[in-house]
Amino acid sequence: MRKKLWLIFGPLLCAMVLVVGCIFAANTHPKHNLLQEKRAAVATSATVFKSSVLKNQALGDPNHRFVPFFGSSEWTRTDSMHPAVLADRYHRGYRPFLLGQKGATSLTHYFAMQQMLPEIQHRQAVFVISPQWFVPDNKSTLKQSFPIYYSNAQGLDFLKHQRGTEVDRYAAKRFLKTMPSSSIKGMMQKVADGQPLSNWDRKRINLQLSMNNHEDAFFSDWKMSKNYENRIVANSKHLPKTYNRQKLSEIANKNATAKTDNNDFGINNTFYMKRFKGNPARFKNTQKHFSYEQSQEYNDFQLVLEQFAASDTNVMFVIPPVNEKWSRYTGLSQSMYQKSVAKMKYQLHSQGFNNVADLSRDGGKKHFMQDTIHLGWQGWLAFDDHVAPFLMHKQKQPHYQMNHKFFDKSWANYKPKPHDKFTQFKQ
Amino acid sequence: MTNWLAALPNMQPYADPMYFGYLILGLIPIVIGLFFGRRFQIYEAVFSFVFILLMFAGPKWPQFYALVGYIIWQTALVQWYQYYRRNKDGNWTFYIMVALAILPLVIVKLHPVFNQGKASIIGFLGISYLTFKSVGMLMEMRDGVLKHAKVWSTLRFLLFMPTLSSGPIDRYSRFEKDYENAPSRSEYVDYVQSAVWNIMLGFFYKFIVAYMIQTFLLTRFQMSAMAHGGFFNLPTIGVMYSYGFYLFFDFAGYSLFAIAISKLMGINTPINFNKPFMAKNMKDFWNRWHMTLSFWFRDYVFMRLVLVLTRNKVFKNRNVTSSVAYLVDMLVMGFWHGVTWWYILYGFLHAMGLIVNDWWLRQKKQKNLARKKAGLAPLPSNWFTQGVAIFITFNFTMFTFLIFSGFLNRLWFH
Repeated sequence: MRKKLWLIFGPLLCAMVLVVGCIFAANTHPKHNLLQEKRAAVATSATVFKSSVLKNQALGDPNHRFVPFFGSSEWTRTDSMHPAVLADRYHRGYRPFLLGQKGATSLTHYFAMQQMLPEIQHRQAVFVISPQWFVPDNKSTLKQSFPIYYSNAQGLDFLKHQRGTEVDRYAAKRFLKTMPSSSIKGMMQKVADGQPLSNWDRKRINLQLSMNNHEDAFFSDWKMSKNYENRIVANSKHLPKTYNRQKLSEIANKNATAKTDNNDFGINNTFYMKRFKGNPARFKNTQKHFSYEQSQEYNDFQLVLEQFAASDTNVMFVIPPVNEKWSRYTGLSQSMYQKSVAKMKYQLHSQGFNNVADLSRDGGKKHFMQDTIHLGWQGWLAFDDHVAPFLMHKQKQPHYQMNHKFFDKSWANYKPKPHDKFTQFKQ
Repeated sequence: MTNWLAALPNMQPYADPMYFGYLILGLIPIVIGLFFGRRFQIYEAVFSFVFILLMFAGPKWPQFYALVGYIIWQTALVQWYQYYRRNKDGNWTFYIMVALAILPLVIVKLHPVFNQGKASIIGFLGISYLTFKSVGMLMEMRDGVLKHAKVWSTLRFLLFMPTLSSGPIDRYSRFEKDYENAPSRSEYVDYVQSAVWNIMLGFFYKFIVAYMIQTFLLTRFQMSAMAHGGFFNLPTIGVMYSYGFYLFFDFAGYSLFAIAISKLMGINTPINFNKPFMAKNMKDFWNRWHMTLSFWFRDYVFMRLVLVLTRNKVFKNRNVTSSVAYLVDMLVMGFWHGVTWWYILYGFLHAMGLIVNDWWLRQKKQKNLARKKAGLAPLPSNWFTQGVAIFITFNFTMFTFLIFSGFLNRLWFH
């Protein structure tokens, strides 16, 4: 009998000891390692995005300054003028830490920020707002994309730091809508309802968070992408040794011309073949009814702004354009686009976020876009013209005046007019 | 009571590894008792009560009251019918009792249809599985098989914690026999061995395979299919296969947990899945997929319908009779999943599958009979024909799961 019991439970015990031993042996505060940090910074993978260990390791490095660049699919448009390439080549005293991929939106970033609050406190950041995030609610794919970039540690960190404010309650409500069957939905519900968490809840959060972070530390450096070597260094070594804006512009044009010669839209050849199979006809006039004017994303965006204000982060916001030739072809309305941008800018400026690089009218400039909606060569240079001085020179710390009207449905659903003053949303 | 209930932490059965920790902790006295051939009935009752309470605690507290009300209702029905059945056996009384037993479930299923998708307040997690159990009891009583179900035994059968939320669906007489006779030590050690194996396999199915399919395939295919739009597109085929496999690994994993915990409590709950994607035809499929549900429908809907139709000579041809019974059986199953076009179409497609399958088997039988008379060998049946059969069945069921997933509704109408 004893032998039989050992045969049943023995392997189980051994496995448990091994697993727990391995995971708790992992160091949640690994030593700073520049190469590892450089690789994580440009990996643009869900693993890095979700890992608090990797983010903290790089962003908390006292000897090398990594700056969080929040955004989405544009970060993977690596060409010779990509911000990570320029920063690598011209030793600017900062390196972008790219956060966000296809499908990431404000809510994704808000929860990811919860894992790096000390690293954004009183610091600088760059945030690319894609108007494409601001789709009408019935077109939103957040339910599918949010889980890809979400790890339970983000939710737990949120629960740990929340104080039951209006902002916290809004975040919890949105979380429950997006992840209705998460294992921490009970606690999220309490926050959403404005109830305090019990001591039991707090203990559970700490315990689970410690488990999660150990797991994170254990798995985080497995299979780190080699984007840094393959894309960043490979591009940066062809750039001239000293920064020369004129020269870079020439190189950008030369590279872009070679890479966009199979179509009339100025779209990258590979993208053009892959997405349209060389035949864009089925996209003609398909975007006539696209609108970014009314969307819950405006409320979610406020969540991100609230976090920046609470963390006293000085942020440069960049609003990219769409490829003008392409948008004419698909019928995307420029006036709709501009009204949406105006609405975003009102939300920013009226609350004291005054570092806004509005590139939204430059989509017709030559070689500005790499494809339909993503910045490329000249666009990246224009991006750099705004971002590099902002990060390299000392900036005055801004004073934010937050306005909770931006959490209202009426703001999300407000249809901006041309030259709108948005008077009813004044504080 | 309500405030206290709302303040408790909510714990969904088998939802995360933590749950297993608490569960195993609570099970230790039961396991030790059974190892020594003793069943601690009172402790088991308290243990079950606590875990059921936690299932409906926190924000789900209204469901707890719904459960209590529902249990009182069902127990009263079953007990009254048992009392009535001692001396009488009226057809209509039986029909009315069954109707009353399924009434709460019908209300719960219809409520969202007429109230913009809002769930009914009398609903709770597991209501459909409890209904199967109580209706099964009524049926057994009608047949005269079940005569002495006490209130206490009825309650512990209906409220058996491991299978409360989503089955497998057990039968009263089978369950009661297990409960009354604690297994012998060597038998129980075998149970424990199978339980450990099933929990580990369930972890692998639900927390590794199903999870990976969902994160790396299903959600990506869904996103890409929604981005492509239109009536049908290539990524939707990806959704179809990944959803089918996700459904299997998620639900089979869950069932393994429920069976394992039952076994630790000395109850040999029947299995729910037996390599369903190796099925050679649709009948075979339903003998392998969600088995306790399909057997329940076979015994209590299909067989009884065939019996009634034959007895009343509704159709001359018995093949018509069975086809109609398949159709009703599968449509009822479709409605049971929920009153939406995709569940009902799913039921309808499976009915068609079974009817065509039946027809095909008849054809084959006749052909082989004719060939035998003519002195010919029967139609070939070898690894190739079986492989083709498995391939066709697999793809057909995957297609029905695409319907079942409701994804097409999102693709077309949202």
